[in-house]
Amino acid sequence: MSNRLQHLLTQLSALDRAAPDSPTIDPRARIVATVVYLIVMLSVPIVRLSELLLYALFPIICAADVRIEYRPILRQSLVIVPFAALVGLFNIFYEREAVFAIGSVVITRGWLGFCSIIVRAMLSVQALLVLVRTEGYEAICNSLQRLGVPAALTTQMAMLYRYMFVLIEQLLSLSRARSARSFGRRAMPVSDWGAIVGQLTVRTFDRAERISQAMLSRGFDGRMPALHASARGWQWRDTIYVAAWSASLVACRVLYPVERFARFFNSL
Amino acid sequence: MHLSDTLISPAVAVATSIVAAALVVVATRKIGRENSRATTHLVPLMGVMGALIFAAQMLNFAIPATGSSGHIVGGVLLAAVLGEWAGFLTLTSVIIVQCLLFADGGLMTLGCNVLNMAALSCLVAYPLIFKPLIHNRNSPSRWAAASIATSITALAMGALAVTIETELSGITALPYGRFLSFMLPIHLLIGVGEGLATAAVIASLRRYRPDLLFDSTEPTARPRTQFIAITVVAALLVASVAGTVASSRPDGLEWSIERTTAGVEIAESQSPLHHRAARIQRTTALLPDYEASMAGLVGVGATLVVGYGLSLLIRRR
Repeated sequence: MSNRLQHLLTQLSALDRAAPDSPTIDPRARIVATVVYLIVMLSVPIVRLSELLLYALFPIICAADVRIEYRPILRQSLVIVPFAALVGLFNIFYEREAVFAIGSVVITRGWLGFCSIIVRAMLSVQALLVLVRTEGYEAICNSLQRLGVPAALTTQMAMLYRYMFVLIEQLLSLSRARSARSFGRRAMPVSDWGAIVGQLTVRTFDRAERISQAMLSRGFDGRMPALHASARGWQWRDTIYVAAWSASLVACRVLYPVERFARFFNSL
Repeated sequence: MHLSDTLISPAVAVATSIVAAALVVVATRKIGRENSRATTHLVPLMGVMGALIFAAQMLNFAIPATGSSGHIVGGVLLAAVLGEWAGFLTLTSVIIVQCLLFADGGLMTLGCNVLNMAALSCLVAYPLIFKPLIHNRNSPSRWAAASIATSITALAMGALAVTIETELSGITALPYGRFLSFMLPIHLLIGVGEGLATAAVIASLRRYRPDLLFDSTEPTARPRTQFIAITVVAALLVASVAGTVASSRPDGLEWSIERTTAGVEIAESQSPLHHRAARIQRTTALLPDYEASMAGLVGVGATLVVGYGLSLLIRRR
């Protein structure tokens, strides 16, 4: 348990360190491009597995663009595979029409669907991971606010992130104290859990009270001022970035380049 | 309960996102309308409570008599401490952070996840079940019963919503009834765990800082509206359970046909005419393959009739 919490803390601080100081492309442009990518990618019919694989290029190119290693992202996206496979499994059982055969192995619709569900899951996780690694959490909060998300929610997201570290650390020490006093009993009964979380809640309230007094005395008026005062505005290159990605993604979706190429290849 | 991007079609993602965004806007308005002094206090409180739920989710507890462990969703707890709308907004922010930092649920399914978890627990289950159950009756067992009942309802409704959203997306080939019959029992159990955990935290809060919890003397909705609302929620639950049972047990006739023709294809079904008819039927049927939800609808109808009858009886008194 403590290992898990500690692992989480190190992961989060690694994420914070990785975020760049001066972005070349406005974070808003990257968010929009990622949303376009996800919509287009998720709209590919699940029997068109070969087309879907083409969309793996987006996270790869985006990662290369900001000099992030792709391999850790691929590895992290594997976490979702068991879950996706569990759900996709039913497609194998329910859709048994044969689509094509490789030698004597017949491939059914269900198997295509199964693979597609896994690929879709991995690609959407990868796109998200690349986005967050590129921008860092705070920049995403700021950009969301500038994209029109209500300030109450983005302020809340920023506050949550800030106090998450503190509370996880506090919980870590509470759970360490509990395991030191309960040798050999690994599982935590609900009553102990309730006492720990209840204690934490009470302490959290006192903390919130102090924080709110401190914030009020420094002139807090209910909304968070933007940090780093949004270094740069929207530029032409941001528009071009969004337009180029959207155009190429939509073209991929409409023109089915992989199938065309395959047909062309067969006709040779 | 986190729905992943892979099971959702863009249409469902966009539709649910619009609904969720509208709810977020309403929530910010509601919070903003309270006087500004309360708001400035509420902002840091919401922030730390969100972080608290987040941290509490990392700490698993043992689920009694199963040998497995689970974590809390926290909707009911947040609503009980912060009120419906602030609780909703806080849980929404938790879901967004889980999506961005831990890839728990996708970016496209944010709308779905906010509706399934935050909206159904803070905005539906809490005001309709928790508040009326607590209203002016302040015993420990009341609070525990209310937490458990509310959590079970919230999770069962969430499971139902997940099934509907997945079905509408049409990515998985799993039939609606079958899917629901997996989801519902699991989430009913999770609901019991969630309820016990919420009750445990609330019990310890009641002991140390009872002032922090929702004020039980605060007026709630009018009894009749409340009654109707509870009836509708209960009817939906009963309907989904009925649908599950209906789908997991094929009716006797079907079963006997299966038995008698085991392994033998009925010759008729091979004829081209039959094939064509079947295809036409498939394309014209409004809701193909939805016997289970039909059973569910019948269930809703029956329950509503019973509920209305009860309300008439109450009105006469």
